[in-house]
Amino acid sequence: MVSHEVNEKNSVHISAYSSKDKFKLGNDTAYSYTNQNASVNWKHIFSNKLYGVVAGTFSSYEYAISSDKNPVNAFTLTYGVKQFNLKTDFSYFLNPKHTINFGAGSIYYNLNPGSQAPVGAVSLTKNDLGQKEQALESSLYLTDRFEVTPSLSINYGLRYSMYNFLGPKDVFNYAAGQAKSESTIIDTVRYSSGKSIATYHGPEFRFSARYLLRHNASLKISYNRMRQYIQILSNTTSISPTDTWKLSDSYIPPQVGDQYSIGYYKNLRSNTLELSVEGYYKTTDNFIDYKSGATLLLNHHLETDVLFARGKAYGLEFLIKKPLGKLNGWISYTYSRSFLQTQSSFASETINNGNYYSSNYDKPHAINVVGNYKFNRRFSISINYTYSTGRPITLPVAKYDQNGSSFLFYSQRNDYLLPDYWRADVSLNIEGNHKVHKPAHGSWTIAIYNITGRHNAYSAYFVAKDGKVNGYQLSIFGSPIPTLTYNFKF
Amino acid sequence: MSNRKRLLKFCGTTLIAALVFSCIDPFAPKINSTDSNILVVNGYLDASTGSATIQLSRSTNIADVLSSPAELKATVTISSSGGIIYQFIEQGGGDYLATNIKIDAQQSYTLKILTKDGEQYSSVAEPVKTTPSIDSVSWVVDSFNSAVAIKVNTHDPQNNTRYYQWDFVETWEYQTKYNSSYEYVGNTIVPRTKDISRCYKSATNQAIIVGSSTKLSLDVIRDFQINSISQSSAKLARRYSILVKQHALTREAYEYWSVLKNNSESLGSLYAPIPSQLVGNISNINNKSIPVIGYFSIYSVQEKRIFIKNSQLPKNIISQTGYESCQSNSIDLKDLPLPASYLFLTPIYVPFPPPTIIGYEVVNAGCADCRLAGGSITVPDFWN
Repeated sequence: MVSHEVNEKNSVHISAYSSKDKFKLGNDTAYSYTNQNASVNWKHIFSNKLYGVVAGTFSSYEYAISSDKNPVNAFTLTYGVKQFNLKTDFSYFLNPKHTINFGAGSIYYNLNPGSQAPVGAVSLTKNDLGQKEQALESSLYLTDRFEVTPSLSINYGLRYSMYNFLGPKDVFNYAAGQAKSESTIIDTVRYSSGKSIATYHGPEFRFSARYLLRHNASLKISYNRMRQYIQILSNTTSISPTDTWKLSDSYIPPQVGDQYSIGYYKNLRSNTLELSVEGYYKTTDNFIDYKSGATLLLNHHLETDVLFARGKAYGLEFLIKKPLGKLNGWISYTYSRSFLQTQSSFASETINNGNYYSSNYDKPHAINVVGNYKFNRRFSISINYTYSTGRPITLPVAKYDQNGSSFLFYSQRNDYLLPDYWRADVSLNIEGNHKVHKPAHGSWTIAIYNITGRHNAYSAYFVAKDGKVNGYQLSIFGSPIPTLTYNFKF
Repeated sequence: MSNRKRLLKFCGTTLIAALVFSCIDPFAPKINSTDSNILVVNGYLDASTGSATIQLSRSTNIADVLSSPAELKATVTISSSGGIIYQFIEQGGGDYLATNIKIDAQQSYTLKILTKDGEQYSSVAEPVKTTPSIDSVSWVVDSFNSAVAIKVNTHDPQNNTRYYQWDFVETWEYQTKYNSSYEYVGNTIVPRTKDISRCYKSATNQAIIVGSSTKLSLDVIRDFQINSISQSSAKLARRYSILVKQHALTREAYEYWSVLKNNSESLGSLYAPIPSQLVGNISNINNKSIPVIGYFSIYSVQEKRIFIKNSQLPKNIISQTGYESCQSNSIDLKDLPLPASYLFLTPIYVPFPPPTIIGYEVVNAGCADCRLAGGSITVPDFWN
């Protein structure tokens, strides 16, 4: 990270980040994740009432799964999403009551939805290159922060976004009036590079207000509309983490969400204790869920396996925070629910008879505790505890025989829960000595993640053997993980 | 320069150690017993014969080794859209049979079930699907998989069928390495009257086999593989036969069977599909939340049988009989009686006249009695 103040009116800020993580599942399947980020910001001050920032950022997230257990089947699967973002933001201090922010930006998405390749000379794995996806999202926005009275401030604005799903890509056409499936593909249309395949656009309104009450208390309300053109695809029945992404296209419309929230905040004991209660209600349209039997990996016609759900979610969060002192930290408890509902005239595009069902994120109870204790200037200890209800899961609930074969019958979608999740982490921070003229200032952190080694289930899967079906759960960080970090500044 | 400030800041982080382990533990979720006990309906109305066999059973808990228990004492009927109701007769073992159903291709038919616990189930009214005949069943050597592939060809000149399902019964002849010519009758050793060295064994398809021609402009199924027999299989050692049964499906029925096939074939793998409750065309009339498993269809069935003789296969295909490791022994008369796990082959005589039996060649029973490998010595009537 480099910051450079060119002159009083101009400053430049550059940062870059790269990381790579690897782990093995069993003895044969390896996962690796790569994260890369880079950004350049240029801030220009036009006058004491107006300044602007131009920013260009690049981010890339990739992961690969490979296995060489069986040389004939040895493979590597790669996924990735790259985003190039160019934006400019202006802040204009119109008068003491109004601050206006406005700007424009574009994000270019480049997505590898999954490619499979053989590994080694004897592998018979087929090369399967998923068609790359690309899209451009452009937006304009304007917001006004209005100090109505000393105790009331409101923030309102509008963002308008326009999205183009772009070629090159081969797109299937489906017979009209029928559920999309491999058997209803009628032809393929080839779009050349840069050609717009699908376009979506729409406004996003924002409004929030803060009202200062007496006795160090305040009330906040807000409303937000969000349009999201990239969605994550998560297969919760697969043995391993294989999340992929999907850009909105001709068949997959953007996800649109409306969130309403209200919060009450109060500080006690001369601001040494902060209390808050926040509630929200959220509705979502075009939330991606999956048909029964959907496959996400290397699926060249994902539209045949997904369906669009309407979501509703609500929650209430209680927080107590002690920001200062030798012992500081916070405790929060959240009760939240998240449901989906599908409606379609085709039975294959309906889940749980069209009733509301738990989404993958429906974990009603969550508790977080963070505590820091400072022994002296050089030593401090932190404890982090996290608890949440296990994630919903679709289980095989029954077994039956038909024409000499055994079959499984599944519960309604997300009708059961994985075991509860909880984890405790501890870290010890050791600061270097505080000589002012040292060229670099360093500190050590010794941390243990998941100190009890709890096997939190990431996923559950089932394997049929000898006429019996056995269930297994996979935990990824199922042991205490020590880390040692050295931070330095100069 | 003096009024220009320059600032340069760096910070960095290094992660020194991060060893990550994953682990797999048994997972035995508690499943509501009502979720596991579901009525399973299996069967169809045969439009060519006007008869229907419906098997009713109950699903079990996934951890049970038991097979599905039969559902007894149910009342089963089929009603036509013309208003005629046909009663099924319980055959025992969960089988219910109705015959002499008048099939009219213009009408639809509904299956209704009243179980002994008083629950009523009904299918949707299903149309009659007429199945085109099988054009051919062929076989080819699939050297890539060291197998013999069985393929089917069919077409519908009206372009009306589109969705197909196949079942098969394969039957093969096999012969033990040894021929037992003598047996005990009581305590006496007498020549055997029945040949127990040659048997016939049958098996049905384990997988769901469905196919469609919807991607083609004509309703044609060309060289669709329905079975693959390993070249080393004992099935090919002498003579093999397969009876292929073909029937048409509605689009909805095709989707049901395809999803069921998908859900059951890639369990637990990286590519595991996302399952959910598979809904057939039968439902509980009074309480839609009580699930029921099964899909009721009405169709005619077309059949075709082919034979493959071992001598027709390329010479480099060597099928294993399963009897390769069999070896005979001899036993002296004084060591008789023979244990039940052995069989007599031939007597051993003294090497000079007069012929006097001094012992027997014997072999492990499994090496001379083909029935112990599961087959039957009765020659199937279609065999010759």
